[in-house]
Amino acid sequence: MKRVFSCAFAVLLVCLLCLPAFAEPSFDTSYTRFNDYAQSVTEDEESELNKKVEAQIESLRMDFPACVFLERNSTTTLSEFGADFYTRNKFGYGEEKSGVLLVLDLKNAKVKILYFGEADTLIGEPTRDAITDSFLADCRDDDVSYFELYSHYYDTVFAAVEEARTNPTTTDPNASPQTDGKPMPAWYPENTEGFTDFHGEDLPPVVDDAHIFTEEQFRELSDKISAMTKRLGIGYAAFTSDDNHGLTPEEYSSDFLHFNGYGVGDGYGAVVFYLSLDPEDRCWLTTSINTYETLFNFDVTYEIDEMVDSSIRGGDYYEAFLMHADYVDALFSNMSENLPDWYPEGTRTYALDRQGRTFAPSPDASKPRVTDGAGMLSAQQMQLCTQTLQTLSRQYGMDLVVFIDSSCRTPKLYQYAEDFYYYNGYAADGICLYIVNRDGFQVGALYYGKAERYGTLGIDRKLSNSIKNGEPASAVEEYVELLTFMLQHDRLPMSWAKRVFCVVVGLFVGWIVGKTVLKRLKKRMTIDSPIGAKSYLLDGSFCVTGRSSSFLYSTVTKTARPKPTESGSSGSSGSSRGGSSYSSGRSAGGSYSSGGRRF
Amino acid sequence: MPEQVVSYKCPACGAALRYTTTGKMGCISCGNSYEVETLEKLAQEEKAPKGFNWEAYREQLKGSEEKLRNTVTYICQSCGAAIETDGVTAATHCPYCDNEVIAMRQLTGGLRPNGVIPFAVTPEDAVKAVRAHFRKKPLLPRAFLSRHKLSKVKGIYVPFWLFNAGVHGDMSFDGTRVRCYSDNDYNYTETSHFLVNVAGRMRFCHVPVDGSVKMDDDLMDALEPFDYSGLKPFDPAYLSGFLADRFDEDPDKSFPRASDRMQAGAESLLRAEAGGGYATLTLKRSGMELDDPSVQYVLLPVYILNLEYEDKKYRFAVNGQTGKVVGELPVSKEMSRLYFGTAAAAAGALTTFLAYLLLR
Repeated sequence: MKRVFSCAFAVLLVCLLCLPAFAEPSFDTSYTRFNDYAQSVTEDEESELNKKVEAQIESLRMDFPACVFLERNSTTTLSEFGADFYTRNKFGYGEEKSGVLLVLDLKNAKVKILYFGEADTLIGEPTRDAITDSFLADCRDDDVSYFELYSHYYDTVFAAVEEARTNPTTTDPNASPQTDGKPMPAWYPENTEGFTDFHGEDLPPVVDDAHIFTEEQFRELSDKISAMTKRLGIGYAAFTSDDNHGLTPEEYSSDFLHFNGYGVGDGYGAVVFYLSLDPEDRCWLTTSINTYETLFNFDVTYEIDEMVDSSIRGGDYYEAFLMHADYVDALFSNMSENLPDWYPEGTRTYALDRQGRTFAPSPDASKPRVTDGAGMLSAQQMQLCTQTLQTLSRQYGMDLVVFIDSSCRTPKLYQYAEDFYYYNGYAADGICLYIVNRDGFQVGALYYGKAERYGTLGIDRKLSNSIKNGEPASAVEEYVELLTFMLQHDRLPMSWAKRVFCVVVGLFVGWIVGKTVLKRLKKRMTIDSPIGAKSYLLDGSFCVTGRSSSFLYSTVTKTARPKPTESGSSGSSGSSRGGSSYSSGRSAGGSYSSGGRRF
Repeated sequence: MPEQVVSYKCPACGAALRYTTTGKMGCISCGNSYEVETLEKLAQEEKAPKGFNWEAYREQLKGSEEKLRNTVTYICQSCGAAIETDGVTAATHCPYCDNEVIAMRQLTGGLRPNGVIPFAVTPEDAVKAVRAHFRKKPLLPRAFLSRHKLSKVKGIYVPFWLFNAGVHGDMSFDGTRVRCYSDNDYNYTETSHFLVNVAGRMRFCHVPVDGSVKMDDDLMDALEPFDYSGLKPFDPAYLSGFLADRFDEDPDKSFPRASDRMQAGAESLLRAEAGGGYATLTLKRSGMELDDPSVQYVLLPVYILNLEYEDKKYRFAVNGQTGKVVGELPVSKEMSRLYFGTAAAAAGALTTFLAYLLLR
């Protein structure tokens, strides 16, 4: 018993001593800051550089990772590689993920210094130039070792950040880009400061600065897009160029939309299919701005990329542009024609015209609890479910809604359900179960406000069996039962499979523990002879007479990193899949979302 | 030809003397006690004997090994009975008068031990230690203890060789260091291999190996450690009241066991020296050499207890200096089931409950 108390006390003491270790730092410490894949410095030097950086992160409130490599299996630009490296390795300080990243390609003698979060605004262009020039000067100096090169770089950056914090001068995000003397296109304003979106007039539907279309192709594509944009009232253009003028293709294409005034409606939404044949960065992109950003999320751009991939890689650009225009046509047509009654007059689906909308503060008991657009529920089922949901809505102060429909008008089911919930004016707190028929019934749930905490329980997944069996009516009844339990207990009832699993795990662990205990007890019944003669070592007689260590060889094994899987939420930024990339950010003209592939 | 034997008698009353844990010889009749040295002078035994010498023993052994192993007949000094023993018994009891008999032939000249650790644990304490040892064994059948009287412990001086030797050598390892990094598409694991060499020297002292064929080696090894600071120059007086055997396994045969232990100890020390900073260390080569070996012949105090349970014999040994008890014990099937069931049920129930809390 004394031993048990001693162990318990020891565990408690360890936990108390470890508490400070759980204090969350303002930066992720999972990865080392200085990553020398080219082995240009020794391990000791690498360790010293890491210590040097880690000592400054907290005091300068900035992260300073670096990536030095000889080769990489990627066709992306250094900037994209660096941005991906920075994000994937969770670098960055604080919520803004501020930091300065050095990317050095030793084989091709290329360097890129990237600025993230606060560093992007804090460190101005002159300082950035000075940092780069200093680094390049050191690179050219044969007397400077790699360790000295990196060490000096860090000294320069640390000093720059410290100076910037002492005398802050923010960079002007609206300043025109550096073009190294190359003339910007005519549509690019002299000064982008104070730029606001506007509705352009007589805009060309196709701008072929790369001159890839024949006259006939150009005319046909222009006619097609003009007819489509006029019919649907959307902002859409096709754009090619062989020079990004020093900007990223994403920035250049979004600036194209902003500065030409392609945006339509109050939200100035627009989308462009951009083909960049810039030798520095050959790619295609679907770039959207303003209210169109939520529509052209990762899922949509990925679908487009898959569709046009073979045409573009095969050199049939015209075909790709036609397919893109058809896709956008179908997307918007589906969103604007024959919409259900609950869509307000003149609106489109998902998010295009929902700017500034706010929820009502409390649930309205008179609103319909079950909307069965597919006619799946009997009158009795309808009444029963409605009564229960109304009671629960009042009791828990949130809107509990079931939405069943036989068609979906948005690219994603959840978008359609979100439209239903928004446009029917349900409350800021609530749960909407949606069962929609698209290639068979599919189910999902939306959680709002204080109901968001139930999102992880996955009540909709519990209904998948009923849905698979083609019984949406019984799925709704099951849902109401589960919902009642969930709201009462803050959890879902455990399934029999899980209960059996718990017992099986218990039996397995019990068997292992029992065997272990028995083995230890049996060991105490035998003779335990000593091995070795360490205890008979004559005091002071042991001495090491020689020691050496020499490197033989090294092996490298690589495993593919898991790719992000498709999720039900709206477009995430900075993710990539199957060669597609999707990002959002700000260009000189304003915000944008962009997705596409390099080729 | 009957051999001459020595037994100590009380100078006051003539009764037999026994060695006591106070370090003196006590008279069981009149209660007087005497220093061993005093008795030795009184007995005016033969001249100061020579200690065991490995080389001299080898010479002595030539052509006489068989003779050493034959049975020997002694005459009891108390009752005059002829006592026949095997060729290695050095101290025993007369079966007729129970007088202690010490066979000086086995303990003189080249066979004289270099030292002896006297018994510090009384037979009563040894029995208590055995009982305590049994109580700590939850799988011991209850009937095992109740069926036996533990009073029949025999105190025996067991012959041991204490080997000393220097060890020098070197070892080579394949050491690995692992570094992980990643890029856009892959996680990389770089394993660097190093040839690690380490050499050293050391000396081991008093590595014990029992020199009795009758004693189980594992049992005797498990009795360690003995405190060799308690080692006394050999005197036959210490044997009085106990059984004792002369060695019947010579040091040349015993040395390989000590050598193996020393080499294992040396390898363990050198591996620890080489191990810093490596994720794994795989032995590629080991070369150990022993130098300057020497040996001491000593008698170490051991209580032996033989018990029988379900037609199987169990032998237990108690370190006569420290009271440590060793020996293999029978395992009760019922108790095994009970402990397995209890542990499994407790752990299983707790795990099931935690899994339920986690998954609900």
